[in-house]
Amino acid sequence: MQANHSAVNAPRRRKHIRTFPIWIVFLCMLPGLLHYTIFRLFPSAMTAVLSFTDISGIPGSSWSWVGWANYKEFFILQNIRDLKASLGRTAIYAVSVTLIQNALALLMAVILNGKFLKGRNFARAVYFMPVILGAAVVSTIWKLMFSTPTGPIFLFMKNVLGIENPPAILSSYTYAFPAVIAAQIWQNMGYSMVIFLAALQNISADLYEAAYIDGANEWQVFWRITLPLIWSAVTVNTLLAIIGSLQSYELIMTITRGSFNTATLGMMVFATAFGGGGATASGGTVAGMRQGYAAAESMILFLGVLVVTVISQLVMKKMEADS
Amino acid sequence: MLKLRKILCVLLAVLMVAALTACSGGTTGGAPAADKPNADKPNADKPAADAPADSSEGTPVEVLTWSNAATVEYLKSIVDAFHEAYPQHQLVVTEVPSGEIDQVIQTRISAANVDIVSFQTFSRPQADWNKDSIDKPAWQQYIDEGLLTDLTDEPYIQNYNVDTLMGNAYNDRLYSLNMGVVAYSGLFYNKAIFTELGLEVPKTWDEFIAVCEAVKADGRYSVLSAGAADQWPLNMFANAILSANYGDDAEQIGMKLLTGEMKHTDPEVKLVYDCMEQFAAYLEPGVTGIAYSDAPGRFALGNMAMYADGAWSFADIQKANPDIDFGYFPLPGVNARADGLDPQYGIKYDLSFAIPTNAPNVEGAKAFLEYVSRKDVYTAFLNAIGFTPTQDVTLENEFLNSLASGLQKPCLNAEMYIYSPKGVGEYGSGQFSFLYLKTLGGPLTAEELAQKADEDFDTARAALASLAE
Repeated sequence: MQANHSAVNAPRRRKHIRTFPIWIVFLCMLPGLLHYTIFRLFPSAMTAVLSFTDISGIPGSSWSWVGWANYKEFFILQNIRDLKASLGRTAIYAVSVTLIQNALALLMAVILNGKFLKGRNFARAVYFMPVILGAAVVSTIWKLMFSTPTGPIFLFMKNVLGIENPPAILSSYTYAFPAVIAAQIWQNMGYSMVIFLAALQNISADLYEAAYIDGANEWQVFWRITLPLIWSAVTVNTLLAIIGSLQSYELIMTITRGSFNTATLGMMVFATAFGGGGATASGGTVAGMRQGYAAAESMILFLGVLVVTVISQLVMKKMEADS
Repeated sequence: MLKLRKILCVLLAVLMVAALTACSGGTTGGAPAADKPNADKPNADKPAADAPADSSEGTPVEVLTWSNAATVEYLKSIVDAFHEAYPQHQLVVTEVPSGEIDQVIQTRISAANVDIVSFQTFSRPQADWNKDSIDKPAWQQYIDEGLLTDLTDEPYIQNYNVDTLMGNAYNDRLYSLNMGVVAYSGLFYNKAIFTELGLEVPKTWDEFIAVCEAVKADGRYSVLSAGAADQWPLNMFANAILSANYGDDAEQIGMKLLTGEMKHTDPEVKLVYDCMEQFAAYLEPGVTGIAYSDAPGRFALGNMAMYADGAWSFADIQKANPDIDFGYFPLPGVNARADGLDPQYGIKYDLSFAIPTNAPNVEGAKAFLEYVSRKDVYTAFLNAIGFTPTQDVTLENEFLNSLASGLQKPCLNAEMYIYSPKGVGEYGSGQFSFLYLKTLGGPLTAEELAQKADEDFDTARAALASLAE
């Protein structure tokens, strides 16, 4: 009787799966595909093409194919000392942001996943809010926080910590870079937290119950149950953070303009394409307007990001398999 | 139920497509009024009597300029008067932060959706002698590509001192209408503090240092400040030091530095670094964190003896504290001038309006330029923003008139002549950047900074030569 019942239900279930004709599926995917193609794929492909030209970005201006000249210029003309320094900063930026952002996001996600925590939805919204703010807003907030001599952090250092001449953080060769990293983490931590939260909510409560019955403590439950089961979210967040931080320039541009040892490779690309700006009363220090050259720099950045991402993915997969 | 789902799916897809379409359209529709399709453009040529009288109507004429409170405030104050004069046009003023103006101009000209853009001096052009060493500046690219309207033969140009305007010409043609030159190699000083401490306006560098020492020794007031967080307010004083000492000869120094005939460690240029180091030592603690936008207001509080900025900030200072009694003097050179004159100002062509050839409302833009060139409008404008006129007008502004003795033999500030070769490292770019100096919390002494600048210039020249092979 049971078998018959299954036999009767099986075709119905198959029919249910075939509910949507394939054209409906494609139609639903179309907006996303169009968006991806027009705003992501096509510009990326065009960047690769433009990197072999001397296009300036001025509308209607003439341009020509220059072969590998832009790449050659990058490796020959670029000041090696500055390039090495910017690559080093890019690495520090990426590693710091990835590690600290994900650690904080995971901590907050675990705390805010507690069922009996009062106001947790409000807290989630608050932590997520910086994500929806633009780089200009975030930089304004941080510039006000660190402003001299009336910003709250300056006053805290002076009045609470008793430092007689507190440093101007955002114009300090020592502290500006960590401050920009902090701003980047503050802005994006909420995004990582939401991904972790989604993963945490998929873990069955039965597993925790069983673990506690077996005598596991909180720490053991986190390491033996929670972390392995959210590892895919850890992988996603790690890769997103690495890619985002390697490409990042907006906050650096808006907070320090790449001065005070804060220029990363992404910032160098931006300055080449659009000018550094701001160093003189009558214009920027970098002429900019060399989008062909900037495209070549972007391709080099892309290759760097690709290599790092692939390696990271392999490492994360291996860790996942081991765990 | 199944049908309903299908319908819902299709509706969802349609909605998403519509949303995307709306997003792409928003770039045009969401931008300032000037972005709107120029459907009523024919109105621009109609006589004023036919045009709408309501001040909210008319074809938009969008003026894009950088954030300068006095300029923006004045431009906004003439919106109605301009509309009265040209009822078919409606003035829209868009301001962007000074440091972003170059990028925004490029974007807006590319989008062909701005009528007037603002430039400063057309400086550091690419020419035969330097074409292998520097990139062509943006303004030159715009002109060479035919993107800026030639204004040379416009009738309102005759309202100006044409010889003066031609100082900012390119290939003997005018592509921007300069509203005035501005003295900016000087220091604001608090007259009350100077009087109280028995100080005189310094005429030489040593006298300037003596003034700084006297204020410092008194201990009650800050000696000197600047909006150093934005970098350029300090860098322009490095160039001011060059101009104060070499006047128009700074042009030759700039050329020789680029070609390698002169080094940063040569005594003539090293002097600039040494003066920078001294200057920086008197700046108030934490000065590198003070935003330029906050700096005039801080001077206006009245507890600071001197403030390094261009004369254009006088209106901001007056506005912040109408009671403060202040003056402005040119930064002096190490030696007194050979011609016996008091120290003279380094100047530049400041706010200059240009019309992109692809502007949506070229007629409106020309109407705007004609309007601001009218003697009464122009005079009011200059009285408000603090420029030295390029028209033959008499200003009532007491502060501006007080600058006259320093404008007998002004020179273009050295900033206009200082080039950096392509690919130069950080110490060679940024125009004698103060911010690397130890006296400002940076890593280097003046001597080391000059050496590093030479190294960076040499490296860049060698790389350029290697690239050319």
